[in-house]
Amino acid sequence: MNGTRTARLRAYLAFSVIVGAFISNQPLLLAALWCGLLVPVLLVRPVRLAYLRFLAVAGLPITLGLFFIWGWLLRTAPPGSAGEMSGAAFATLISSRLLLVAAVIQLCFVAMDTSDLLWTAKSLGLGNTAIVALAGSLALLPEIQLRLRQIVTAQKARGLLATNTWFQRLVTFPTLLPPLVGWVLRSAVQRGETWEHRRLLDLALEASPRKTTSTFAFWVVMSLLGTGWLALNLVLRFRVVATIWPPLRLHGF
Amino acid sequence: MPGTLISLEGPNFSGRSAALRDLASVDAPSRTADGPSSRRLIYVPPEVHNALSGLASTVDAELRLHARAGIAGPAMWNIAEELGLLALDRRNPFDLSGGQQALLAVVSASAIADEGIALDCCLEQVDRPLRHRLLQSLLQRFPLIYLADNRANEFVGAQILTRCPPPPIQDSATFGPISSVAPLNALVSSEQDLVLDNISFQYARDIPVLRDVSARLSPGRIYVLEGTNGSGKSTLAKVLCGALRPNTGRVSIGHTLVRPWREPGRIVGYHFQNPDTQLFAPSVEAELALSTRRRDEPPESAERSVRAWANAFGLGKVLQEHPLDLPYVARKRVALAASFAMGRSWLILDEPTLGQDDPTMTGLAELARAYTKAGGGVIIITHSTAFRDLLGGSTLRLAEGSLAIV
Repeated sequence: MNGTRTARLRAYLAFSVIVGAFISNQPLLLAALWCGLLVPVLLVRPVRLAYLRFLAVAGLPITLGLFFIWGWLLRTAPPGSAGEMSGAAFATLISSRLLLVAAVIQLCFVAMDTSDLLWTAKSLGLGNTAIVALAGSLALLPEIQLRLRQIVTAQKARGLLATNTWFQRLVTFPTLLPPLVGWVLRSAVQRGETWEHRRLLDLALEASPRKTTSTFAFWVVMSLLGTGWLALNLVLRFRVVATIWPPLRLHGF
Repeated sequence: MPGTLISLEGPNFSGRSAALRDLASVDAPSRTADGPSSRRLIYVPPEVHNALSGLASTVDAELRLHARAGIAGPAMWNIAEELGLLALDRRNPFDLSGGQQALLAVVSASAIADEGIALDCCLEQVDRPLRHRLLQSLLQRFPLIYLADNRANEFVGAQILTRCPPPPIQDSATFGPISSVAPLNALVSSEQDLVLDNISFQYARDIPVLRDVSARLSPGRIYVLEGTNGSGKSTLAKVLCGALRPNTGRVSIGHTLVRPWREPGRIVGYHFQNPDTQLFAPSVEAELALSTRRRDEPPESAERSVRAWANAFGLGKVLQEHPLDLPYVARKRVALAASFAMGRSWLILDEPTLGQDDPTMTGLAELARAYTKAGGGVIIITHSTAFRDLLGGSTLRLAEGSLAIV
């Protein structure tokens, strides 16, 4: 079945890139895969706006934060980090890993409809309990965002904010938390009831996912490239080739 | 042959919701040892946002998720197209108006029900022609449609074939009736016109909702704001109370320019269509206290004020309860009481009669009139013709972003 094979290829690609990202200690290799393959692919797919938003909201701030802390404030890598390196080099390595892992997860999973994602999880062999937990966690974040927006709107409409400024919202933020938690939990219970009553998870899992623009061949090619990149990292990190054929040690392998 | 519409009639708290939930086996497990149990009836609650799956980021994805069952896929798509839901296919279900959410919840339920649907006070916020069309389509598709709706006679008419006797009264002793004897003396009356001058608004990357809306509204009067689902009624209300900032335009009280978005909720109070949006205190008492608190007011007086508003809305016995633990009808009342108790010179009530029975609706109309007599202005958004007739007043019609006083 094509859908199941595609799901497995997606999972394999994500696995190989994530493993490779944590094996590699060379930012250049990480950046090469990120800039040379994943970003161009993401930018030509429908997920590009979501990905650009992710870069602006999370990717860039985290990268800048890492450089600020390790490259400028501390200037040295934390004790126990792999090899001897400066704080800036450490920040480069960590941010490259994060950007690469985020990009591959975005490409393989985040771009999918929730129901397609659940189906993919099932086709990868996840159990019912894990799928329910996955569905719950996927529904929770939008729920929190929605309720947060609603509480702020209600506070405004009821005249509970002295002024409509960011400072005022910051000051009143702690008052948001109890209703936010209470409402989200209650909503989760009611949403769970709806899922149970309508058997929505069963529906999501019963049928195969809708046809997407990407073909099976696309995922085959991507998986092969991911495998090659993982192999390259294994070779460089563990000097595998040099172990097999010692003369290559002379050339740095 | 068209199906049968069974209307469960009875006052608030008479147990109609419980009866519908029983009929639809909401609390029964969806799986037995033999496999998935069938879903004879699908129950749609009054909190329509909770009947949305939360698993779909667009209307199209929500419909597709339900259509996957394959029981009534094509029929569901036809109903969705007829009701205009397909035109909203890229919108997030949670960003739709209350009426549109209700339509989506019911239409998606129609794809997975075997025998029928149990509608619990969820259609009152839907346009009258759309309600009629929806029910006709459902009756063509299913042998049974159960309905508990206080305004059933407004949109069902001769289609009601059976009226079930109400189940025994359970909770009516806990909640009293709404009384117009409310402490309206704390009302902040400006006795000046509310002037809207070329107000325009659009949500990000969306089509304009309000286009150069202008109007002069006089205090001491009730205005009924009408418009189709999604026409921007609630958006206009949020702009007026300052929860949303318009892209262009001005709001004035008399000749004084005001900026509601700078000090939101100070001039115009707003009661939300969905009460759960508005409530966030840990008890009914604390919820009302948020609205009644005044600077330099002694605690005894503030407490008296809270009790008076609670009694006016029949909530005197549930002051210590968490609002979210109350039934939908009572939560709506708590939100209404909190809105009235703010004592703003202008008050906008968005679908205040949702889930409320006829005596409560009459009490609300009296309270709105008392509010205008005390010098305030009231704008009411409603799809109920009975409530509109009870209120009298002027009609504001919002269509294609423009407002007209009829």
